[in-house]
Amino acid sequence: MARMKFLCDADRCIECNACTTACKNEHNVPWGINRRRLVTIGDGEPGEKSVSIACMHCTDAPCIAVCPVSCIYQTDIGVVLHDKDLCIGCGYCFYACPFGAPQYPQATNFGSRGKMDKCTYCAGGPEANGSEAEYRKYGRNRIAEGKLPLCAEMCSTRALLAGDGEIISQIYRERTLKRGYGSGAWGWATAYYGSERGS
Amino acid sequence: MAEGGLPFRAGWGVEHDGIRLLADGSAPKNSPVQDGYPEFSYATLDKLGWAGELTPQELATIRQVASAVLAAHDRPDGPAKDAAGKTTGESNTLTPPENRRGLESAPETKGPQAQVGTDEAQRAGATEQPSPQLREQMAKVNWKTDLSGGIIRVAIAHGMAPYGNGKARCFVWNYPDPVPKHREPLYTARRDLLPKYATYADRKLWRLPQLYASIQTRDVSVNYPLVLTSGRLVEFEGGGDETRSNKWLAELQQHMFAEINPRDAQRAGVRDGAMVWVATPEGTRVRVTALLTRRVGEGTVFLPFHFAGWWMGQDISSRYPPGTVPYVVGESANTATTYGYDAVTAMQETKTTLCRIEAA
Repeated sequence: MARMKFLCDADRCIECNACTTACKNEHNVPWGINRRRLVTIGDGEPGEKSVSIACMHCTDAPCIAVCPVSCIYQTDIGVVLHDKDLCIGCGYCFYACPFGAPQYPQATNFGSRGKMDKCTYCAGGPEANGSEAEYRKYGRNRIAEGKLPLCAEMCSTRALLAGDGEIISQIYRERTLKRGYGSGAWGWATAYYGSERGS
Repeated sequence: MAEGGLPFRAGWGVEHDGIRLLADGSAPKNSPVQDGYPEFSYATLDKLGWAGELTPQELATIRQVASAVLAAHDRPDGPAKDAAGKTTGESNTLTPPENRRGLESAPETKGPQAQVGTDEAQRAGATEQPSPQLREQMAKVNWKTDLSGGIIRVAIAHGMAPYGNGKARCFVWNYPDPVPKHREPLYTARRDLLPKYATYADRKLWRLPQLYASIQTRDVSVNYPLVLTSGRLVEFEGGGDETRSNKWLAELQQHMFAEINPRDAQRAGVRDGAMVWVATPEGTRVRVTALLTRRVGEGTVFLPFHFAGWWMGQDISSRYPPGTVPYVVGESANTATTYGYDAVTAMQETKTTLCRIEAA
């Protein structure tokens, strides 16, 4: 069974924001909320690096472990999804997540959060695939259409890879071998471990 | 050659100042002519004995193009002729016209022949013997003006480039600097370079006065010591209007800013994120956010060109027609950038001027 992963090659990312823009347009994510975002470290300094970050769909995802209403679940291809009808906006997942993936588009007058929103790996949610309800809550379900996440499909330098972990780590291995430097697979040591880590 | 491997275009004639401009002993693989050759005209095909390979339709079109040119010359408002009766500015494949300016002179590419169609050509009685005048004009129809495409077709069929086989031109005699030469910008802080790298004298291009030296000789670098340049941000692939009117792109950069080196900022008493005035010797100034970064060298200020809606510190976005206000507004970099024209294309100067930073 395929195990879907993201891989951002920090040696290739040029901070063009095509991934974040593609994501927002595809899923109609409002201003101020970013399912995927770019983090630049050492901006304008020698050795500047940019990485594109979204939910990494972790092995043994900490958000699943802490959710008090068990609304977060992992699919058979490793994608971490959640049920917005069950979510109570407690924010535990936000504290647990090592990548800052959970977002809360709505706020109330009393400071409580609305339903959590995060990257779905373009795989929608628990509703029927491709349904209007699914689109409204979670955005497009490209996986059900046999397509990969749009952010990676859109990446101009192929820094961001999405797909079966075995295949994308193989692509990355060949790439680093060929260019002779860099393990810039940002976040893999945190997100995946054990047999799922690959190389 | 039809499968790849073209030569340089013989686009500037065959000779200049006694120097041959056609390739010397070099030609595409398997070319029947292993040397340079001029661009193809009907006369070239005729001399090579290939004119017979044109189809009757192609020949009729060539003839029709030629007669259309003759008809245009006979009209009182036709192209001007010099004393010798030769049409001025007309391109000839064997003798390049004097004073030809780059690629812009090609009168044969526009005008009456655009109306010519093959059917019309046949109706015009292309089977009659052409007059000597028409024959002369037909010889001049070249691969660019032949609307049938037949000259191109036959040339390629013989493994030859329709546009000829010339030398790459490194010496561009019709440019102000035939060999590219560094010239200091109109507004420069490097006064020490001026004796060697001064700009052009003031001049006029058609009706447009272009000031060069008279601006450069005025030293403004005491009051405006920093170099000001402008450019595009990588996340904005398009120009300003496409960016600020797209809600997803507009979100990425919501404030017009100036990148300033921390040392320059310190001298001007400017903190990161504070508002600054970028003042220019043209008398304009823009109010923008300071982004302190070593990405720009000391002495250089950078403005992105994606914003509009402010004019010298004032938000005038209310003047946009209803429904066209951009998602984000800010000072336009063009307000700060400068007078100046490219010496060849007359394109505006957007990349080099001077400025001063002041805390706002």
